[in-house]
Amino acid sequence: MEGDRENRATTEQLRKELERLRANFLEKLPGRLQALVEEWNALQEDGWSQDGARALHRSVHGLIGTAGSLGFAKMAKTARRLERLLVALLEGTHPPTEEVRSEVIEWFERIGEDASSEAKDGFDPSSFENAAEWGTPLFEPRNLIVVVEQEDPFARELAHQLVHFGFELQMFKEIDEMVEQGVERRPAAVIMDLSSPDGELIGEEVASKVRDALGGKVPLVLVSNRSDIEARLDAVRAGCSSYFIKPVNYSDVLETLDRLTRSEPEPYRILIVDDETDTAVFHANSLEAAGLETVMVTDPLDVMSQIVEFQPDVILMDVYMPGCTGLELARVIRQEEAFVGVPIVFLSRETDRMKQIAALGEGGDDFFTKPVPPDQLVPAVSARAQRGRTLRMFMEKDGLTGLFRHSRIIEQLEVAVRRADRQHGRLAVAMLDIDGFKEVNDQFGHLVGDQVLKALAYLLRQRLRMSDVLGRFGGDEYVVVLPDTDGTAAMEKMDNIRRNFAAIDHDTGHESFAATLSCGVAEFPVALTSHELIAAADEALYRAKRGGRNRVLLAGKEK
Amino acid sequence: MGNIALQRILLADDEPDILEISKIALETVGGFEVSVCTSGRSLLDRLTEFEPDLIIVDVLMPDMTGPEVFEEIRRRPELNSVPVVYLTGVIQEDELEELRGTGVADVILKPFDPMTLADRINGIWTGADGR
Repeated sequence: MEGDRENRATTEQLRKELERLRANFLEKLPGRLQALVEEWNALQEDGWSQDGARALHRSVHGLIGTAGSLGFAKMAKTARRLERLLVALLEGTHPPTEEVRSEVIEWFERIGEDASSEAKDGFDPSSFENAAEWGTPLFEPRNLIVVVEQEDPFARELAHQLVHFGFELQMFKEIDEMVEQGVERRPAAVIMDLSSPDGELIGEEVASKVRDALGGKVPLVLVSNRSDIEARLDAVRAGCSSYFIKPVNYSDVLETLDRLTRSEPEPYRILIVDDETDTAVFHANSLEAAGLETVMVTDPLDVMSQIVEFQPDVILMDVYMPGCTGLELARVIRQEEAFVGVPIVFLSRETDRMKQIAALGEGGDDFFTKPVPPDQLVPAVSARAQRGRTLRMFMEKDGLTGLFRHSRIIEQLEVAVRRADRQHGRLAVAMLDIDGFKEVNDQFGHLVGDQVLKALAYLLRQRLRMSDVLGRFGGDEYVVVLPDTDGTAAMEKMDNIRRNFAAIDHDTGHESFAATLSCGVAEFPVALTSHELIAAADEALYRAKRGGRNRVLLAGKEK
Repeated sequence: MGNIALQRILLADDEPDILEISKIALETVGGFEVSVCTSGRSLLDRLTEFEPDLIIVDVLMPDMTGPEVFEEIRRRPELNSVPVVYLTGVIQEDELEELRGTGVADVILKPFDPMTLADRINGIWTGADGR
């Protein structure tokens, strides 16, 4: 009792102290914001400097910590957004555009507005309940690309483009400079312009020196003036991943970088259906030891829901089970169009070869007598999983962009909706459409049009997280499913992509042009089903188009 | 260290507001004796005189970074048993992992809840004690 009272007293005392600090903070805030705006303006007028921008970033960073810790949640969130914008500017190599300049000023103003609206509320300890979300990163960490080049307009233009695609860059004049200074962290790829002083050939010795400096095997991309076989052989022997002859089409380089920086393939997923728990565990252990992912189902009637949830690459299924046989179950699975392609491997104590062959007639892909020793199980299952995945990729992925096709993205969206519903989580869906795409095709031809479509796919893949699902809905329409993201955060994310996309130069061979996109965003649970989400996002997209294009709108918000 | 209670905390951050909030929160609720510094260098200078039981250091400071301060602290054998806690506004998961991997007792994110800060530090102290 005594302790309780003491606790309440100290809590009350701390709250009073915090109220005093809040009042102090608010009193000083207008002056502080004014000083930051002046700092920002000076940065534009006296010449852009990375150091100046960095100092400003530090001040804003500090503001987030203080405002948030004093319970100004809204202000902290707004300041966090401004911080992200400043980080993006710091990562770029160019001074900000007019549009971005005024955007920064607007953010400062909004911080001030948040402060006055929150000042009335007083200190609220519950504001910390969601503190962890204030900083949820919107993007995956960027891929670092190291560029070794002489003063070359090509390399500079390439670097400029790479930044818009969401890569982080580190540039060196020559190999020795890179070796001496070292790289910030392990890059996703190195682009080397082969010309003096490093020479027109790379050679194995130099290539290994580069790899040592990078701390391991990093893909080397060469750009060269030479197209002769000697130079190309040299590159192959030095273990280079790609070789481009000048003049280089940026789109080709981006395609290569996109391929090189795609994430490691996920482990194969194996669904084990067996009513004998011991055998199931034995097989699961053998597969997991080899790096595969498994889920066990001991009641055959649970199989269908697990297939939808787990999306297995291979189903390993016992033939004899209570309730229904493996053969019957295989037929049920094959009746679902979406699962026609999933390989099924039967397991049984059955040694009768004829019965085994009969089982294969039911839609099984192979037959093993259990228990299967690991040295047989792992390679057999991996090979089927790999083939199954390749086949599925052709069925599910769009050939041009490598994104999911229409039907598949809807399926993925449905899985995401179910998950968000169950976990009371958040989910956003964005629909994007390239502005005036028909004119691009008419004016520059379909090849250039395809290049624009691919550029947007690369950008989405670079900038969004692994957990985001990307699809091409057909034509120039794209769909992005963003789990654990609310509408406002999704808007911010897509707006960032919109700006990046508008800054990309598309190359026709003799001239370059820019394209823009419009986007509509819908959020769960404002819209509740996959159908409603798509319809709402589509409606917002339509409004964005009608409102003048090159913008991102949230469904249900008139403006 | 047995059951020795946490008493003395040395804290460095270049943001005066954060120093004030943390100091008040730790003193009022935790009853600790808290000494604050505005830079990594001054924290290192204060160590011998103040003899802290636990050190809290901001990661991003202009003169020295938190990890640099931590490295210096670990060079002094007499401070081997003193837990060090980072305070940071970093939000990227990979950067946080890197910070946690440096061997500090814990990483506290800014903004933090001043009402529960003392409890958290006590928790870290108890955890570090068990090592």
